Amino acid sequence: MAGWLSREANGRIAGVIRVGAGLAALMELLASTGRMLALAEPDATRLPIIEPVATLIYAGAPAILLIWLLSGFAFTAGFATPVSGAILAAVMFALVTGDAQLYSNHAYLIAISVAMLTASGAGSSFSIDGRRKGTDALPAAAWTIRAIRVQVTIMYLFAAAAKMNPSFLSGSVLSASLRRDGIAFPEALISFESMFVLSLLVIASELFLAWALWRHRWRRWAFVLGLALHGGIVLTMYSAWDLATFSVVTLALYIAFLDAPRQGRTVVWDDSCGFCGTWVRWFRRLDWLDALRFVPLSRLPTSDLSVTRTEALDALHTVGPRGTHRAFGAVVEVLSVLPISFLWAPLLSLPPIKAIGERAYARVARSRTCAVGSGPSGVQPENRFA
Amino acid sequence: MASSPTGVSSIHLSGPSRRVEWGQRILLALVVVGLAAEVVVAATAFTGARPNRYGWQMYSAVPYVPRAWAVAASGEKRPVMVDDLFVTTRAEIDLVEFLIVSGCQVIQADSLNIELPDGHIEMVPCT
Repeated sequence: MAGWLSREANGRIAGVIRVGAGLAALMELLASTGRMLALAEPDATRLPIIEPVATLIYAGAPAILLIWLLSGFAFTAGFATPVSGAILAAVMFALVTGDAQLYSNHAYLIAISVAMLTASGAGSSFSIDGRRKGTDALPAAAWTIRAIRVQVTIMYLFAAAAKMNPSFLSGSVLSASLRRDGIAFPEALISFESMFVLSLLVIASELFLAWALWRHRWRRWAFVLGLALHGGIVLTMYSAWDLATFSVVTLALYIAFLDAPRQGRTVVWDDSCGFCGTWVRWFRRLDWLDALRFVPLSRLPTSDLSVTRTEALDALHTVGPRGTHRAFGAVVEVLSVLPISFLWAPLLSLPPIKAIGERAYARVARSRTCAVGSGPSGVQPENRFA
Repeated sequence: MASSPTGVSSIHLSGPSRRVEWGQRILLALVVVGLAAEVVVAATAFTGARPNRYGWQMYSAVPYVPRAWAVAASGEKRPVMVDDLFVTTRAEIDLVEFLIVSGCQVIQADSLNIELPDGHIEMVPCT
């Protein structure tokens, strides 16, 4: 038990998830403001769930909204996180237990996520608190990340099970929910047969996600499916803002499944090339999980890496848990651990896209103009591959 | 305190470490209890009509929106736009139960006629 408790994980994972959950809480604030203020009107129809909580909301809606706003920003930024997180979690739980008209499943998920993240110390990294207290580099307890994974699984399992009923399987729910304007599902395709098949696919997707996110071999395809599912419902169904809020918090929680140990992947790059340097700068900026270690060509001899100088001059390389990758493959490896791209990066390894990517990388590498040298003689542009 | 052969004393710093470990154990217990409670609540929600709150039952069924009429003493019937009675409608809200229990408080009428899912008309006197 002690050993299990002491296992460590990348502290940045909880920190980045915290930002996603915080943003979702702020999105929900925008959606709930009108409703809460309307419920505060004395002649509004009220449907209290827990009477004292509801009374508090009706009487103090403006104050609660302000507290929500301030704690939401503070939690997202990781400022006084234990306090701001506790307050935000309390506000979110009040929202889903106050009045039935304010309840939503995504608000429920945000409440649980904020509570878990606060309890697990998600303010220690990727946060203002982390910078001030110098805790950014500290690891997190691995079991806290695992608990977030369990939460995602619980949600998908129950969501799938709840849909196994005649009403959903008849396709009537999807048919009523699909947009008829904007990015619309073609009306001609909306039939019993097609909606029945779509209903089965939705259930199968949720069950697959509950299982595949835990499987190392299938995880990246679960990321892609999750993006397709949650992105697809935002684009094709009514209540886009609510669905977008749900997608933001759920896809942020996916980061808990990412295999991204701190500086667990090494990127070998040509530091004598300004073009390459620009890419590396962007990779560093977007490496919010601090999962990448950058080794420039000039330091390659003193490193213990198996990449040779000739190989490193030829193309970008990554060395990590999935072996050594070069060129376009190395780019894909980098993208697979960046929070903004890990959901769709696996698509780049599909045969037709991979082939196009490799040709494009080779063409860019051949035609790039690298600025070499920075001494008194100035910078000499050189097309190394002409 | 133990002394090594070199004479340097070593202090067994067990206090803070043990406190941290106990803190972690308590935190773990709270999280486990919380997740377990969530599962119990979600499982309980399954026993009710779909969709239900706290059960991750989003988009699991089409809610029944009853037709209703406000009936005056003269017998004149006026259709009620049920959705318009609320700040916002949620699929989890049992509109039939609401109309039966609280309909007379929010609708000006001498009685209410509410169409139930089986087609039966429930008459609720308001006086």
